[in-house]
Amino acid sequence: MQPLIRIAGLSKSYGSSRILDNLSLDIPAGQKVALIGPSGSGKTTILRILMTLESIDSGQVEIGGARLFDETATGPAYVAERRLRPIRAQVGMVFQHFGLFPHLTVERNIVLPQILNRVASEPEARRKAMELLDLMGLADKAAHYPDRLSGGQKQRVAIARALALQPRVMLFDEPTSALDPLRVNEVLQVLHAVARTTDMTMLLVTHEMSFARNFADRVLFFDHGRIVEDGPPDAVFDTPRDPRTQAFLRLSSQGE
Amino acid sequence: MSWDSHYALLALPVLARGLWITIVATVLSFALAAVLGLLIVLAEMIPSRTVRTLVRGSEHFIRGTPLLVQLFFLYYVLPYLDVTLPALGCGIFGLGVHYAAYLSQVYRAGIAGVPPLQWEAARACNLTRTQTWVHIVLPQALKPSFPVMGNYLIALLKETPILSSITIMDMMGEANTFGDLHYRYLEPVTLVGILFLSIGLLARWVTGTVYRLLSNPV
Repeated sequence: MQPLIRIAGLSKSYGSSRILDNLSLDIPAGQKVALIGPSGSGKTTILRILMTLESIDSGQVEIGGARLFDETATGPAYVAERRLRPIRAQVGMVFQHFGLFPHLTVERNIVLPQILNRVASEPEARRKAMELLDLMGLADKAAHYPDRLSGGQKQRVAIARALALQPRVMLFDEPTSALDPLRVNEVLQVLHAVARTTDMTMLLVTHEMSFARNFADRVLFFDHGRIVEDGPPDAVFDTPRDPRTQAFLRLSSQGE
Repeated sequence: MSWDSHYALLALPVLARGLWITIVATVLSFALAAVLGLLIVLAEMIPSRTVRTLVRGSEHFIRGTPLLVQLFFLYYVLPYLDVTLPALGCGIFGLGVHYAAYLSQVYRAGIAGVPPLQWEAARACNLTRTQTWVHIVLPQALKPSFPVMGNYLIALLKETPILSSITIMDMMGEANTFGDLHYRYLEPVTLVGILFLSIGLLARWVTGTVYRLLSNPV
């Protein structure tokens, strides 16, 4: 079966530092993938490229069989916006720093993208928003503005906003890294519930190792823009083969 | 020289006529400036070097030459090129374009103040470029611009007496003519000052109230 996401020979540098180094990766539909590894190893960059937020130096990415890049004289460039939009409609993203729209209420944050994307009429969009807020345990916050919410609440709204557009692929970029330690669990619980109840493909960049283990059916360990370990969570966490993975897991378990 | 209240009372209806022109000129040229200023900023986003250079160039030209020279050009020179505009039209156009160049800077600062994450979040929500501008960026960029725009509104108001130099009978023009007629300027010119101060305060109160309403949405 053809994978939903296909990444081939992807490279990217900022100046002299290599962020992604000839990286290839296939992800079948429905898989829950955790991306772990030291900071600056390229995990977040992969997500940002899939969300069409980042240029690349070489390589190709396909989502649902559609190419994200055209080969041009100056290297790969994103395909025309007209062709990119239907691809982007299949992808949703939750950012480390939430990215809620501060001038809109919580409900409006979830309703407006649905309406502008024409995935729902106004009443349907509002029903969907309330349903998701209910799921997030935030039904009473619908009329609030984001600045009145805690970090954990903001992140749950951001998750609801992304889910409302019903993407096939959800990208979570360190969704709990900016949170107060006491607020981390409320977001992780929601993520876990969502992961268990949908057949969405999910990519999660995280430093929460025990959560990665519970959440994922596949774990990728990144180092210097390469994937050095790829396997089911038990294998990667209990019997890592690469010395870099072993060292990283030893250090992060000391931190916990 | 002492204050003559009877003479001041005689001047008032004449000044009221000029006040009307002052207010009309201020409101219309500020509206023009607000719209044109935004168009200038948006035009600079067009990915064409020619358009950008042209817009930037005219903007620098407008800010770099005195308003009086621009108005004289519009009113006294353009007719030689067979373009004749009524004086008030020239005045509103001149003031509007001049202040558009300043307001575009205010808008630019407001837009630069919208964090990159807002653009990225809009893209992650698959909004089009236009939708991102209209629904996400501009509402956030305009709000902090508002107090500065209020200052420019009052600056523009205070600059309207310059219109009397191209024969427009604004408040200052009326006061001047009235003074010429009676060889006495103390009362009309003092009243003009008081009237400017009053509408200036009124304008400040209105913009302040609007800003407060915008900041605390119900």
